[in-house]
Amino acid sequence: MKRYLRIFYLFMKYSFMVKMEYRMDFLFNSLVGIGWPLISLISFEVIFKQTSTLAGWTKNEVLILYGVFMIINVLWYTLFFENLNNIPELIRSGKMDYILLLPLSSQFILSLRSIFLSTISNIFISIIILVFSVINSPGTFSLLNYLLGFLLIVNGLVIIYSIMLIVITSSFWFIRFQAFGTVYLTMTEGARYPVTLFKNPFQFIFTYIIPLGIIFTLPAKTIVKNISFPEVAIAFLIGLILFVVSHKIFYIGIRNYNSASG
Amino acid sequence: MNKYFLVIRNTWYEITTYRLNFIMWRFRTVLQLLTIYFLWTIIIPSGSQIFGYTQPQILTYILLSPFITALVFATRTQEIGANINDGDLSVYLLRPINYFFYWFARDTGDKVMNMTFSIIELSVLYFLLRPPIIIQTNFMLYVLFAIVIILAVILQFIIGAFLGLIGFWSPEIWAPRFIYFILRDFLAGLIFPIDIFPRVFRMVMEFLPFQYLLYFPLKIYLGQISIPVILRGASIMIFWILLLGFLLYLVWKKGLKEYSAVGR
Repeated sequence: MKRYLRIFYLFMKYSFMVKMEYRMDFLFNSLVGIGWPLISLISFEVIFKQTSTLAGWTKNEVLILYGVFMIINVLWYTLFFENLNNIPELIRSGKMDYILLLPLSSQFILSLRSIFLSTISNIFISIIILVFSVINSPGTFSLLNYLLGFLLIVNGLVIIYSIMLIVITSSFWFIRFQAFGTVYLTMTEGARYPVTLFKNPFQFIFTYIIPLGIIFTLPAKTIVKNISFPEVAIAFLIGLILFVVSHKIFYIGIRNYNSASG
Repeated sequence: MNKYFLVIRNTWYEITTYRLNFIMWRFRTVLQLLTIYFLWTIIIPSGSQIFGYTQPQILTYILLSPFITALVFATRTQEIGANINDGDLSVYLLRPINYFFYWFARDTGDKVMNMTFSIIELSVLYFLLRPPIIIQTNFMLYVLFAIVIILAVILQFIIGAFLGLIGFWSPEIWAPRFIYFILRDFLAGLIFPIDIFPRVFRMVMEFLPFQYLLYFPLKIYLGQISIPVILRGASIMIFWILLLGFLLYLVWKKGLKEYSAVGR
């Protein structure tokens, strides 16, 4: 375990060194990281000038949801997106062989070898928005709310990672996969707003089929509204199941690759 | 003319080859539309008028947006950057085809493909959601709408090509394009019509080209602006087309001078 942490730290350090070489790029990404939340905040201002609640959520609660959404979103892009996105290319170019030969968990390497810190400015803003909104919330909340909320955020990230891992594993068979980024964007399209915004059948789809409700709405709800223990328990269960299942499917993909290329 | 038609057709074929990519893209567009649609049905419940819009008006605005987006925004100009950096530009310069007309033809292929799907999607959504929409009856407005759309297509193309030419000076044109697209979507009135914003903001937007790409045509269709205002808007569009077109020409000439084909 300690070994993996150390290597993860090295991945981070080297990625940072490489990224800093392209300073302009870093700057641009940081600007995007600030500009984007800004536009969203303006949008929320406009919406809430008109109506005091949105699908049963007050402005403050929506901002908390937004903070949760952004944090999970940015963590996905920072840690996992590019790494998983490059897997088809590694397969195509044959470099996958070298990675598979390394004496370390292939899934770990393939998922975390590059950390994209340039979008990190977004996280700071999101955390600020989150903390600020939480402080502004009426009512008192116990430490349990915050702790569970935090764990649910991590859980949400795990669910997204697992689903996307299953998606990209298909490239072990199909080789080309250009729409990976779009798949993620499509999946999380409705995540910005509470799941209750959508009318059925879409609300059903976003709660049970693509579990946006569990990934995004639930942590926010837990932080600022009530804790629903059955829902929280189910959320963790789903997270665990998906993680294990995606891990298995991923290794089926690797085994298939091994036997194909010899 | 024949060769440009072939370019359009080839772009079609390219898209059908990368089918998954395209389908995912359309899927995402539909989801975006649904999200915004539901959002607005809550902000403006039926029967009320908010921000100066009734529910039918805003829903028509929202539902017509993807179609206009497919028509005006769909582009291939993102490939110009790689084209220049890979040295493929030399090949195109040698061909008996105008570089910009070539890309415009490619854009047209992309637009036709996206529009076709947009029409199908909107038809299906109409039957699923049964939204209260407004059908414009004034023929003159349709004519003006069409003219303004053509201007918008040209304007957006020039901007897109301009951003592509950054490839002469930078290996990666992704970042400035990305920033532009995020800004543009918001400033063109994609989620929120421009006239719900404060006066100062609106006045500034009037002189910028963005709102004329989407918001302006939509307002014409809804019949919410008068003829003199339409003509004024069209003049501002033409001004921007000429200005940016000229800048494009200058940048093109400068870029070519600095261009040294690597490995060809």
